[in-house]
Amino acid sequence: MFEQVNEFLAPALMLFATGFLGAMFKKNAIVVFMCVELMLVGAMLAAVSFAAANSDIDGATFALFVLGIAASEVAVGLAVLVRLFRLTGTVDVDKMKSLED
Amino acid sequence: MEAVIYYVFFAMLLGGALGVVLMPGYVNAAMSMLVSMLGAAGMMLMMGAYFPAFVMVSVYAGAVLVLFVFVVMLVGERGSPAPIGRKMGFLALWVAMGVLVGFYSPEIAGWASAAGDGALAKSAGEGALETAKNYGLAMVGRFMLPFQIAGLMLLAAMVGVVVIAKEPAAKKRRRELV
Amino acid sequence: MADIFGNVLLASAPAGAGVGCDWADLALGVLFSLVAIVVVMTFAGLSVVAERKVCAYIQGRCGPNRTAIPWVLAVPVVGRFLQRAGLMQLAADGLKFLLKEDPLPGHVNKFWFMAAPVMSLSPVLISACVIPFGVYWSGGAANPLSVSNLDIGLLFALAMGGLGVYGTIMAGWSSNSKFPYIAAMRASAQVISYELCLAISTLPVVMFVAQGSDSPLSLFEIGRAQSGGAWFCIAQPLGALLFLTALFAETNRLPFDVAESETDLVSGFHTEYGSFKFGLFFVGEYGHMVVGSALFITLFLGAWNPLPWLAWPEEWGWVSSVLSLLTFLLKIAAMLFFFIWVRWTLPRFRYDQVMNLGWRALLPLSIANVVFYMVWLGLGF
Repeated sequence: MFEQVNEFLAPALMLFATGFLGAMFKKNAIVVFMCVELMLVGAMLAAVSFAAANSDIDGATFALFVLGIAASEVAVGLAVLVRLFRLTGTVDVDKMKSLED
Repeated sequence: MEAVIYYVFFAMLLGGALGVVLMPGYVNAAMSMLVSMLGAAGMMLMMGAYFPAFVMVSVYAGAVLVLFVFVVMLVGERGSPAPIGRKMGFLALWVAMGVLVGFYSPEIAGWASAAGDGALAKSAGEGALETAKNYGLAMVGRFMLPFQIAGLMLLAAMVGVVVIAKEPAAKKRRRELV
Repeated sequence: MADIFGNVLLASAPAGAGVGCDWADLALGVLFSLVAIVVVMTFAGLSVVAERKVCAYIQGRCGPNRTAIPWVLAVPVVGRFLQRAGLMQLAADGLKFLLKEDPLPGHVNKFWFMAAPVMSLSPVLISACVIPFGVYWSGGAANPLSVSNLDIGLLFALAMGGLGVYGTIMAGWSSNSKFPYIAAMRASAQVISYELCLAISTLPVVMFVAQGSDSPLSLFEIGRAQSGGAWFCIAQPLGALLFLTALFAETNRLPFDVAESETDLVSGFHTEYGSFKFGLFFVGEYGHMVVGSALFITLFLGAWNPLPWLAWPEEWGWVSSVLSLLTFLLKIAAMLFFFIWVRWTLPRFRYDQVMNLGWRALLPLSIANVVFYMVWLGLGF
């Protein structure tokens, strides 16, 4: 059953879709962040499955770089979020409407 | 037998992802993301990419998620309202699309590989993705420039985080001096 | 697709058996995992008794020597010896943890309260799967006595060590109480700070092993590189010291004991826990010590080899395998004694001293260690 790359692309696509929906519809900024990370993981899975299909290491190495960049992005994003929370007292994305907050 | 393992990892992956989106508490969402990451690592294991799988467990599940959990606990637990039916309708639509497109479309499989049949390379033990050595050689060979740039970017991120997170104390001191 | 478990038994399956694993291989894998778990848990249990006896002798007293099961005591020589050595105290402690009332306080977050000990113990037992407890020869090739010989065993062990922090965080957070929460945050910050030093100090070992082998991250290859050669604690003393210090911090053992500092945080992150769940945490901590020392032994103390520049000869066959297993277990016992010795000798570090040491002393030292050995190997020594 596992000769087709579809079996691994479909979960990646579903993961990406779930993350996308979550990023659009959730109110809490931290959960939105987590959904962005889910999208990145979906993209990584897709890259690795294409690499496995072609027996080429480039896709998997690309996934490793995405991993590293995602980690640093999470760190910076969460630091900004913590600062924002200290200034405004909330992490609700619906309440952060003006740029001067 | 492999089908059982595949479905277990599949359930972890998708269950965790749906948990992040649907669960009421924030810490619960972070923990279900942990389950999702472990499921994704399992998927990579099944494809034969052992090194990215364990790097993913080590970096994502072991460091990034710990950071998420810390921030969630810092920011505080407030109940978020239950999602509305219409949003869940969209979610179900997307997931169903994923299932249809993913599992029942042989053309995507055809585009995937150069051989045109979408089969995963099955050379036991000799696959390019399996040994850590190949990743090392790729990193210092073809991917040397991205490797160095990634290092610089991580350094910039680290310095940036320290600057962003430390600012209030410095401001207070400046105000006292004036 | 190559066998997921990388076990030699799978590789020797007949060609028509299909790729991957089938139910027989799974059953065998489960059996071997249970054996590994039994070994780790036995050592964890024995180290509970050993801790009390050793700390007693360090403090100038006798430790538990009265507990006795009557019919065991009646056995002529052995019974009295077991009583004096305190080994039946182990049975008493174990039964106490099992049979006492298991409190579930009303103010805790029930699901995470019950899940936290499980999350604390599981990574420990999982990482016991890749440790090579000895060596055996079949068909002329050496194979490890381990549940699985992963090509990236070291990375697996370090990744599983990183997952152990969730049990601590969840225990502290779900207790809904100040002291456990502070202790859990301190413990997890300490663990993730020293994880870096732990991983980087193993890099020179990997570099050395890569000189002579194709899969240097495999723990079996690391052990094999020390068979008949200098152990890596002799070739890289600074790396061994850094790994050992980071290991003490990872397992929350004194002198890095701020998480359970009994003098100022009541009982740390397991304050609210009662009999069986506390027992799980307790055994999990000692299990983490056992697996951590097994990792240290494999990386730096020559794995299953008796002495530096000496290896068990292949001609002795299965005798050599048994001796290698006994050597490894003896080394684990020695390391556990060292852990206990240090605990009852050194005073505890303050939390800011712990963080200072981790980020400003150990991390630059470990990076300098890597650079030094890179230059050393690059110049061709």
